Amino acid sequence: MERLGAHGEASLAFAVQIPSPQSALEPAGRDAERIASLFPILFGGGAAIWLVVMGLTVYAVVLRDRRHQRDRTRRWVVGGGAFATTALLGLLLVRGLSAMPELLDPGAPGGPKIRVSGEQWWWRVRYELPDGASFELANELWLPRGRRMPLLLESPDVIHSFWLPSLGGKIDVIPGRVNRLGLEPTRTGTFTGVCAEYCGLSHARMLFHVVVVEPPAFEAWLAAQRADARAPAAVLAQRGHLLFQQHGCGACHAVRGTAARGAVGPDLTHVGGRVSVAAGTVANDVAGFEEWLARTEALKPGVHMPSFHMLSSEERNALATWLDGLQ
Amino acid sequence: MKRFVLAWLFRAAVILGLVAVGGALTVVLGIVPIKASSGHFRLTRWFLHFAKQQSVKTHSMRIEPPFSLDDPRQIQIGAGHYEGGCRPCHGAPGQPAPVLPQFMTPKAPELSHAIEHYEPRHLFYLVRHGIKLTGMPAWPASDREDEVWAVVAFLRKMPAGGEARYRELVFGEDAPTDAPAVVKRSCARCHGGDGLGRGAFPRLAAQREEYLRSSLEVYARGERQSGIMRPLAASLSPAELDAAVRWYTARPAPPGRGAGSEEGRKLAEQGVPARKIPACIGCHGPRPEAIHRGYPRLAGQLPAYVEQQLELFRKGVRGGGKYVDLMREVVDDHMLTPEEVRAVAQHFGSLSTDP
Repeated sequence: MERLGAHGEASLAFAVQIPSPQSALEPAGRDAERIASLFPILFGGGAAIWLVVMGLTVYAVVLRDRRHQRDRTRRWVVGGGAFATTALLGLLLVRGLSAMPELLDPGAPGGPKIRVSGEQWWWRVRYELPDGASFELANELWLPRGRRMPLLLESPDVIHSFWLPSLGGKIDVIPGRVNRLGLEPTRTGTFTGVCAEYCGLSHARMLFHVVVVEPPAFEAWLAAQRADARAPAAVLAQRGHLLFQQHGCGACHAVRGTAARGAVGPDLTHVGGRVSVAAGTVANDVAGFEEWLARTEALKPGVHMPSFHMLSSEERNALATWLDGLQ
Repeated sequence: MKRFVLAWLFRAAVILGLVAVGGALTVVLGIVPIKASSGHFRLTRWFLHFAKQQSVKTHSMRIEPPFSLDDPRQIQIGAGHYEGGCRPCHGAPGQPAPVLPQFMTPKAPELSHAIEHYEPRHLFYLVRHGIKLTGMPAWPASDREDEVWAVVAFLRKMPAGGEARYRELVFGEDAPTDAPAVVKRSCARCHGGDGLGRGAFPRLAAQREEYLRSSLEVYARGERQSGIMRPLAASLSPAELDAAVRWYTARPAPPGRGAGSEEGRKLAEQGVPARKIPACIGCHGPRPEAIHRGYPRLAGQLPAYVEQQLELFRKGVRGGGKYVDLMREVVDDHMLTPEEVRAVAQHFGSLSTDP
């Protein structure tokens, strides 16, 4: 089973000549560009300070290898160690902070709002549309290129951190607070984000994907996501749906258009169309779903979903076929 | 002086050596009688009894009952077990003393008289741990001390109740004549011939077949712990198990009793998504869509039983069939409060229909 991750994505990206899916140095969004522009300044400043400090050390220890004059030494220590450091760091801080208002700008009002909830260990994503409708999906966001979109970030359990280096800044997701972030992609492609604050056992299995498309494709995607799940035509998928119902999966998962209305775990209405399954844990295909159902806890330690290892492989295959078909 | 001490040490060593060789020969040649037929010398009997009393007193010093021993449900549960598990050796009020235990050494005491000398914690210790080198076994399920306390609750009431009370506690109405022999013999005493549980025991009527079958199987193997159910389940032949399961699944569903609260209904139907608690009805019903045959129905179930099972899940000691892991995950991190457990148990107890 191929695991999806930064490396798999990177080789794919190289083949089709799109920017790296997860790099602050190859920005694909307005905010990431702003942050990337800080890089030469901070790196250059840091390098200059390092050179001066190292130079002085060499001078003091090697070149002038005898007792130093006390007053002059003190001037260097206080002036260089306290005043110059404070002034330099202060300047860099001002330069960095001046970018903040721009990064938090939610963009023009009136468009869809995206609520992202960091939960142990996945991302609940909810699109709230201007006409009052809304839908949920998991571990995946779609954004239109060239339009600024507001994100509202919250968490029901512990502190997480939403980090999508290719498109924007990193921001903590804190229980009891709604943090805001704007994203304005400048290039199309599929990008990867992670949880950047240790949040428990499967912190490292909390990937999400962001798909940037041209605005018309984005509108088409919104319309498709709003729609209910289609009833399966094939016999095997129908059996999968029945098993899903009988085994009580709907107590935790919702599949719009069916009796499943659970709100504990991810909404699975169009799960088959997503980039990955279980926050980047397995590939989104029949084999991926089968493996996830059979070895849930082994693949994602601590996960709240129980493993369905007690099902026969034939039953798991039917379930996986139905889930994979929920495009 | 030194020579004197050495001489005495030598003599002592020789004597000890002779005693050891003599002791070993006594055992190796089988001289000591192990027979029960002659009983113990009076002195030996007194000594063993004294040592037992002291040991029980010392080891039970810090034991306290977890619930009131006057709880009628617990007394009835204890009585149900006594009839099958204890009476064959210890007798019961108004019934002829069992014969075989009178030929044991030590004799199994007739409990309708002996019981007054013991405090509840002494009884608990004896029932829970048994007694070495006697016929008294330990409780067959080490995680089910609640069952041991139920037996203790009954034992305290047994001598005073007399024969009529004993019969009333242990036997309900006779099972229907068309019930299979195994139901009449092993199940109906507690669960009732109608499967309605006689007010104290889990209701089995209209329970799902696969669930009942796998429950009996895991009870018999000790994978689901119960000192009461294990000996019974393990004694069933495959044909008897099948007959008992078929009989109870075919009984009419239990009618709802009592009134559930709004809180209980909401918990059962919606769960608490914010606390990662799924809706109970998702797996247990009642809901319009078909539910898996291996999942237990809860509609009309005895609330005290539902509460107790959730408590066993919370402690992490509730075994079960192949689907039990699903419920473990539900209970693991996000347990309901005791008030919520009570509300949801009452709610299911009040439901009478389960399509």
